[in-house]
Amino acid sequence: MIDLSKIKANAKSISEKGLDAKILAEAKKYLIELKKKQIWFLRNTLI
Amino acid sequence: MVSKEYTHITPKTIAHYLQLFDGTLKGLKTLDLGCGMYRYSPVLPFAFKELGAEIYATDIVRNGDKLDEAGINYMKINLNSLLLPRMQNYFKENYGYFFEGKDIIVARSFLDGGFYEDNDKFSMTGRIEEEFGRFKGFFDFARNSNQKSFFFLNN
Repeated sequence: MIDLSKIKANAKSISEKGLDAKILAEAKKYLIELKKKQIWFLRNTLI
Repeated sequence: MVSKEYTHITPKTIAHYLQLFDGTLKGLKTLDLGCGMYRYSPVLPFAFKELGAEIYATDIVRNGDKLDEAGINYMKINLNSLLLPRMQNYFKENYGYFFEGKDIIVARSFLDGGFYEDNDKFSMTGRIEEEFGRFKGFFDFARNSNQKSFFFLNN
């Protein structure tokens, strides 16, 4: 079960301070890897 | 860099979720409404799955075979029927179970398709809030173009 109060606190933190640069950098790398592994393959097979 | 034109999911989207949930989505039952298909790749279900979530996804198109193979529970659902009063019972009877017991319900991008109207109880936003608000869930309605998000936390 998710802790809504914790998520609310995190949401407030994001809206006030913005996204953490370190997490954003990780997310960029992650999306590039995801694209390589699955997404374009999926897209091409569905079309 | 992943093209926003095709995915509508940017690193900011992923970072947003990671930060909200303290870096992991492990064990969370997540439902993506309007996950995307064909031109709009279903990036978010894959991303959530890799981050540890149990993922359920819906869209209006039939072909979800590849998603099923990838371990994503896909169901073709026409959410427009939520806007039609005479279809609402049909919707609940046939698709209601797919929405129950979810920790997070995510609706991105399909609200950009002309359904979004502020303060309109008959809009898609209003209907979804009305229907799914009974779940203890987390909603993120985002208009992709400027990455604004709306959070509905139900207690």
